[in-house]
Amino acid sequence: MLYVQMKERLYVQPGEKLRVTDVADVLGDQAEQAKKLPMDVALSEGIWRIPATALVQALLPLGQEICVLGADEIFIHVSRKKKDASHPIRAALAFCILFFGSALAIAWFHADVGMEDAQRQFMRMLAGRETEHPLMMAAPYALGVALGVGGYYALLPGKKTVSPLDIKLGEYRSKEEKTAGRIP
Amino acid sequence: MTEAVIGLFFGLVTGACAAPVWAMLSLPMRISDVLRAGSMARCALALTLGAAVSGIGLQYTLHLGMAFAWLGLLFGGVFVGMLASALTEALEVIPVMYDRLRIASDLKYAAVALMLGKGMGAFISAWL
Repeated sequence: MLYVQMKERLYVQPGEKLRVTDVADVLGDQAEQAKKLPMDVALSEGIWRIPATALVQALLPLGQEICVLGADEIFIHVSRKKKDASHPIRAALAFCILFFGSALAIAWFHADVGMEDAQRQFMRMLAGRETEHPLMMAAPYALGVALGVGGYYALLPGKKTVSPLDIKLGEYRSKEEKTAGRIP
Repeated sequence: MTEAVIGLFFGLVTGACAAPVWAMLSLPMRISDVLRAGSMARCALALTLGAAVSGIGLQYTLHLGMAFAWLGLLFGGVFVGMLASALTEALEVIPVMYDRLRIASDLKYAAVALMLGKGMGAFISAWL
């Protein structure tokens, strides 16, 4: 009896030979031999979906009974590892877009909702008088905005929660795999 | 009497529209996750009280002093910062952009850029 569980995803270079141990965890009789068996798939660049049937096909020569646990497919990303010289430039570009873009968006939103009046009213409600300097009003509020964004994206020290950005990226990746993954 | 009834329904509509927006953006969930603040019921109570107090209170004053007002603005800013982040998140633009540019490993710096940018934007919009 062989128990196999397919892994979730795998990154390889084009032309790399795959073995059973690359795509799945194996337990049971003859597990060591099973891990060394080759997977008979030739993959060009792109995203590929390998179904559990291909894994069973590779394990058949052992003549064992095979039990597939859990996931019934693995996604294999095949891409050439290039020297990525423009990475810092792209990262700086993205940083600038987000930095200036979010500054503009917040300023725009504040003009749109009449934030200064709202803050004035808020000050009057809590303190009973208004401050002479609008900056004295904006400073704690702006600090609060920065803390809020930092807290939301798990940037602040303390309990490490997963950033929603990472969750979204993972969701996007698995949707992309489901859509683009071809069966060889 | 009629005015009171009409006012009640105005308030009901406003409240019934504001609350689902916060809920849809998972904002109370995220706040209680970050601060380990306990149950959703307590978060809902806080949101309800805040909305109700600002509905009544903007016409009156509590005379609590400047420090308290600054603290209030700080907390208000935290909420708006989280709301803006949650809105951005709902659109899934940033992770896709980082994936397209093949710099997904730098996703953390996207959050840093947003934090600095939004903090600066909130400050300069009062300055200008």
